[in-house]
Amino acid sequence: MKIGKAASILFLLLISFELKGASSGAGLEGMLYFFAFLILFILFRSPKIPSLKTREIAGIKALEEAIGRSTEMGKPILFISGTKPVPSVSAVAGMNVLGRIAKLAARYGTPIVSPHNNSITMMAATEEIKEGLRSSNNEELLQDCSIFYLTDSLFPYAAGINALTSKVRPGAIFYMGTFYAESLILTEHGQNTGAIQIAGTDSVAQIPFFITTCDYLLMGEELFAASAYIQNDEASLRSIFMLDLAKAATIAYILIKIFVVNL
Amino acid sequence: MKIMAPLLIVFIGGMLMAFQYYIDIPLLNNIYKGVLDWHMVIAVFALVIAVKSLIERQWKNFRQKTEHPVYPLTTLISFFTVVFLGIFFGLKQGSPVNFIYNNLLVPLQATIFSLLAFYISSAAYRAFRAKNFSSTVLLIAAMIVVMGRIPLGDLIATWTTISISGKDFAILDFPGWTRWILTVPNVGIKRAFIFGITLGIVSTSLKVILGIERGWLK
Repeated sequence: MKIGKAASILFLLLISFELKGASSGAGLEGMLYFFAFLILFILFRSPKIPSLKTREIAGIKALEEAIGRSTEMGKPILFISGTKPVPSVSAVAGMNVLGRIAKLAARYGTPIVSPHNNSITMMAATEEIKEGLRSSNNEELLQDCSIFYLTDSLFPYAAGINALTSKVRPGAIFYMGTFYAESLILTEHGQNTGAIQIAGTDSVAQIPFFITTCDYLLMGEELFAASAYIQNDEASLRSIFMLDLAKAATIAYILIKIFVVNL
Repeated sequence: MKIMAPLLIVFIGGMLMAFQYYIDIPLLNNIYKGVLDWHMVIAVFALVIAVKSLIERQWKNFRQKTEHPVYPLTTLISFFTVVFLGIFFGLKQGSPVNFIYNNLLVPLQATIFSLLAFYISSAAYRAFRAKNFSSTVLLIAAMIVVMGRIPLGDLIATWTTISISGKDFAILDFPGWTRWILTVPNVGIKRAFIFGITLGIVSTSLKVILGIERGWLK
């Protein structure tokens, strides 16, 4: 609670400074929104708040099924990170899902093939896979895994992955992160190979393509919620509840503003 | 300390970057510019790791005598040729690298991009099947949009236009219906997604800044 009070005082001090671009959303309203979110976040870390139950995310539940099927077929699994590199939030969320995939793959002894279009993402993925294998006591599997850099360019990356899919014939393919025009090229080709496909993306324009071609999809915010859901600790689960609370508050704010403006 | 130090750096760095976005303080603006420069420096080092990974992988593929050893060999030869030409002849207009880029890389990229049209057709064929109520609604909406986007849709609208008390009214107004579908339900749903995604990004960023999300510490 002390942190919450300190953040509130800090916030009040900050609004006395000159604000940037009031009309571009980066002004008072944007700042109020950000800091309200921050304070709520800090307050909800309090252990006094009882445990929260979250509904199961179908896409996450299906990870085990997809990896199990791959194992039965004796085929590796393919993890494709999005086009945005690791400092981006979608890539960080994707890496958390990869950690879960690596744990399950280690349990089943199924190798992971993971091409990347950014070396920092590649390194993060390597560490995530290593950690997953280590936690399931199957570090030897890393020798069979293939984590490598392909190219930075969008369409050569898509062409490279399609060639890899044809060559490796994976039993399951996972697409996690931000995707652009290459999404349908990748997923439609993956669909043709008969692999189970699970995607998670924050690219609104690509969601219809993923829905059409993938078996499961973590749509938009579900990717971020899945990342918290996988971690399965109290603070992360509270963040999902916090997200819903912020959403409800914003909807109420929009409705009030519509009413006030039209009055 | 091993965990606290990086967490503290991320907290201070994250909060500073958040403040500078909203508040106009010259010191914070300068720090932000410095961080962007550092980001570029790190990206250059990251490129070295990328090149190492690329060469290692292709060389391994070539040595393992895979089904098509010509592919990794082509990649390696192309890579070293472009690097050599770039170092000795520069990247200016009319240079060999510029020629390769314009006459080889750009057409090849366009070829892959053009495949998208065929993939859209096959995906649409699979998606637009009236299996249940939802897919029937999707099919009808898609057909209206298709008709509204092609010249035949305009013609049909013109043919079916009648005049009611001096006002023109199209019975089969595909372009008008298309406009409504794209600007009303489509934009509404898109905004709902963007709204949720933005909140998800803020929430995940705050988890990283506050040290709740520690996956990056591994």
